[in-house]
Amino acid sequence: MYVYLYDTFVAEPKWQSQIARIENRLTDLGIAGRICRLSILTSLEEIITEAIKKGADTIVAVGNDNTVRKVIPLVASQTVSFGIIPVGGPSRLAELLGIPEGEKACDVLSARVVERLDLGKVNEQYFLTQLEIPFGDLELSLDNQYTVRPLNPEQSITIYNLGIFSPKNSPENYKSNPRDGLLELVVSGGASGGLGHWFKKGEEHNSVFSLRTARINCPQTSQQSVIADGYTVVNTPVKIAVAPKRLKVVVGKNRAF
Amino acid sequence: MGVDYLLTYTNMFTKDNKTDSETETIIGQSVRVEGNFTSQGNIVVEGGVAGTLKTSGNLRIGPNAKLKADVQAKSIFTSGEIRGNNIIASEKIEMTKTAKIFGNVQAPTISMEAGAILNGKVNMSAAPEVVDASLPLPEKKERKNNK
Repeated sequence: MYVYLYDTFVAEPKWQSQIARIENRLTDLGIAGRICRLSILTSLEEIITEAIKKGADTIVAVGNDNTVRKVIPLVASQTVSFGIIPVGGPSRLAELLGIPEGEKACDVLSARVVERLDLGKVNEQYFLTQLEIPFGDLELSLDNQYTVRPLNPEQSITIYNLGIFSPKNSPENYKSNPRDGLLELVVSGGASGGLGHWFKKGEEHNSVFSLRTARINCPQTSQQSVIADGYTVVNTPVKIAVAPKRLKVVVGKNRAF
Repeated sequence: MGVDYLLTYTNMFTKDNKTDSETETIIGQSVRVEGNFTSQGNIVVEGGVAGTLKTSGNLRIGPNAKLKADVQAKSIFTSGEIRGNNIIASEKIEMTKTAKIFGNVQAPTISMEAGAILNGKVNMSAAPEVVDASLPLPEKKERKNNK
């Protein structure tokens, strides 16, 4: 049984024609199911728990990136598959999973290519794509084996589970694979530290590390914000880990991994 | 940075074609790594490393890199400075004219460009391959704790 979770903004009149087309397409494909409309008064957690109890095998988020971010922690570790029908945008997460906008997403859902993806975990929060630390004097301890210290506090740090990144000093694009049980740490921006900082202004020297666990501390300042999936904010110190094969998700053929 | 350096650099990083078990690392000029760094993939070092550096893949050291570390890799191509007790490659060590090694080296093949500096004992017998270069598996630790 399919359960469709409609985000609150989907009820706005400007999305009604698109929603009607999506519902028609789902009926044509024979995968229409129960529709749950989210509101301020409804608890998403209760809806999902109830749906799983009643035998739902696929939970589909109908909305944008924020909708997906809200649903992922609740379906992680569950036996149900997770699907997305992007409406409204931004739909970066759906794009990375190869799911097109609107009614075309129904065909991807119907084809039902299911992958088990890793999730990143920062303290107790899950993230699907990336974790960003804009700048700061940080110390990173990776895999309990070694420490990485950016020499220039203007450098930003990103930890990817799923995504594409292009280090300036590497000729290749890197694709972070959410099925390899690893996260990728990228230190980017800012020139080198010490005297190089003054003599080589404008040059960027990115660093890339693969890791399973990390701890991030701010030795100088008390706290630094860490942003998960561009939405959830967690303050340092943080513990980061990869949660292997935690999310069962329906993906499209144009996925980024 | 020579053309040869760039060409080999390009060949090392074709992440799209590699298998999932390989990991690749770039230690840029603007970071410092301390501790026991272990990897199964190719590594490029352009910054500072202190401790030990071990990989079952290839190691490329840029002209501005400074390592105070024991190093072990399949092959080492260096243009930078290494200070350590043992620098071991199971296949080859290649030093360009800007390379400096202060420590004992072991590799079946060693090549040095004019201008390179090597201070230490040279052993050209076959070095053992880096077998146990895997990262620790957190799942195994958890199982031990449960017992």
